Amino acid sequence: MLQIDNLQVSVDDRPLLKGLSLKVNAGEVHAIMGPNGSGKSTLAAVLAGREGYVHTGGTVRYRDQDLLAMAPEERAREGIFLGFQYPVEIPGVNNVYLLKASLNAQRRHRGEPELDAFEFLRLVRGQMEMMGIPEEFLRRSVNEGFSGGEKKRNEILQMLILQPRLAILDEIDSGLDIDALKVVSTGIQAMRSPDRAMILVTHYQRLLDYVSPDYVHVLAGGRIIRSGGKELAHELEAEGYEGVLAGAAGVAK
Amino acid sequence: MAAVRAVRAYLDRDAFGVAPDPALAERGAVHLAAAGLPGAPAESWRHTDPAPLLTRAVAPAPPGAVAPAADVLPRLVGALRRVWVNGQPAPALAEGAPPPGVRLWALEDAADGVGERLSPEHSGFAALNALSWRHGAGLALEAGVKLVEPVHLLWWSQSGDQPWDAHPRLLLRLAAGASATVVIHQAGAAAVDAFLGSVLEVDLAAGAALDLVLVDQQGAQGFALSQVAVHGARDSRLGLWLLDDGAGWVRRELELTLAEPGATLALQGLVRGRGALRVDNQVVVHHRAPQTHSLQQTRAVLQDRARAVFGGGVRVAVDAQGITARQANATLLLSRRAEVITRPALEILADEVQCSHGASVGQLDETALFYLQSRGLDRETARTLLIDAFARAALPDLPVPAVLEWVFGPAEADAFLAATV
Repeated sequence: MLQIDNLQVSVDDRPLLKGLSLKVNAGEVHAIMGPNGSGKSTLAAVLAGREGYVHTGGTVRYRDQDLLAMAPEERAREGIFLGFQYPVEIPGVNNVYLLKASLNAQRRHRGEPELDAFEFLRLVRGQMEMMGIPEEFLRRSVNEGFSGGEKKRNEILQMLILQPRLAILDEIDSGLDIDALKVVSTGIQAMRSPDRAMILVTHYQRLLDYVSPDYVHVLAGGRIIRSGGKELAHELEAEGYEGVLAGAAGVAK
Repeated sequence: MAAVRAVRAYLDRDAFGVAPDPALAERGAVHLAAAGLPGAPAESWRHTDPAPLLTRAVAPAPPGAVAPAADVLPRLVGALRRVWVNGQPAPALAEGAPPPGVRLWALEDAADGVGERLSPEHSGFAALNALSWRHGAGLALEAGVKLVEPVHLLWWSQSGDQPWDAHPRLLLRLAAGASATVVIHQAGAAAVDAFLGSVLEVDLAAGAALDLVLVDQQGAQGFALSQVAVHGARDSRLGLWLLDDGAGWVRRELELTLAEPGATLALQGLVRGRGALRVDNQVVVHHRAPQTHSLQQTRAVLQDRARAVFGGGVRVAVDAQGITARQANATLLLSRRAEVITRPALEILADEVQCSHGASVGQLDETALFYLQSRGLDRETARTLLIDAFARAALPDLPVPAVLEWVFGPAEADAFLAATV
């Protein structure tokens, strides 16, 4: 589904990704872990098409297309979803409007008829219940005045409704208390399927207690320096990034 | 010497016909001849060049203009409507009859009290209107009358081969405890070269409440200069909404007097400027009495070469203790050539007052744009959504939300919500 080869990206002439390679197949859940400043959020942003990043080398293929040549909205319509680390507050644009506009943009793109209001509301209500989001949220402006946990649950709600092929969740666990983490994890688990892939970008191992990844990658200095199964997350938890990085230094350099 | 030429042109012509109030017209003529039209050296004109207005040819509106088809005109469902086309009354387009206790009349038929709140000597343009007005509207509510239906006064500029001008005169009087909603709407076809120089006088007796919406939608050749004077007695309440959308030249001079304790003003404004729009709102709030309160919140969204000026004057009289006066302005600049100027001007002679003002200028939030794009909305749709959201937030308490449709088109999000949730 996603094939990243030797990806190099800079901001203001400062290289942030320095030859990153990663292959993600349908049905897989990959966790990308790493210390602050390692390039985790850069990777998520570049995959979703955020402006301001200069592509200096390497390739990204997504379902046999050149991902980096696509506009952010095309990527979204082709099934890529980015869950934001800091979901944006948009006063004056209500949640239900955004959800419906997003879903119908994708359905049009796929040549499917737009959902009418009744079908749409039925779909949304079911998912809202799972995420423990009260109905009044629909009328409120996107993320405006939401707590940190509410914003993250709203991201997952959007993902549940948009049903992406490839979901990239950037530190979806940050700022969550244990109850909210469980709710968010339930939403993520509900999305696992053989034809869908997920990339979980996270700083802590905590989320992975609830969502067991197939692969764990350690990102440092703009490259993946170690990859392994979920036991790698436990190793990181026990030894810290420094311990793992020291052990990997010989390999990476 | 353009101003002198313009004054002479006004004084010389008689094509307007007989003035409804000859004494008032004479006072206007005298003041205009002596003082001329104000312009650049005056402080309140520092940021708006009156030259395009003063140098244009002047002529009364062509008589017998072809009335526009009724369905072309903006309409408020259920409103009491009166329409003027090219400054001339168009009774065929009127809708609704005033209920008991409410009088809505052609001001030229009974002009008693005109000039009491805004005298011909107030300014050159006040003199010009006093001299030149021929048609207008009066609205009077008896004590305690609550008029539920909004009043829609539409001054519509239809096409004309020649440039023309008209000088509407309006008088609103609410007796004690009365309440009303009035929309004064100056709009027209895109290519009309016209000048509307209006004067509005408002009298609010004790406990009266007026929601007043002033909408200007001028085409690129359109000029509108409105002078507004409001006098608010004890515990009166004025809600004032200023809505500017278009590409023409618009200036408002508002003298809002909170004359007795308990009088309040809440002003919300939105300028949506395109092309070479020039909008200049000069507001002066006079706190003449203790415990009077004013709040001014204005926003602008400016594209192309549009330019907006907000002059926010607050004058607090020496014994007006315990007043509050707040002003805030936020502007979204969408082009390098667009421009906003905000100038609060506070003159405070009392000691126990709370006055504040603030202004912010920004561009569209790139992160919000990306967020919307990452959900599948194309960039243009995302931009429009964010711009409209910013603009709508300028008028959260608008008493006649249908007015927004003149500016934004049908409110898709709201309609959807209403239909479903």
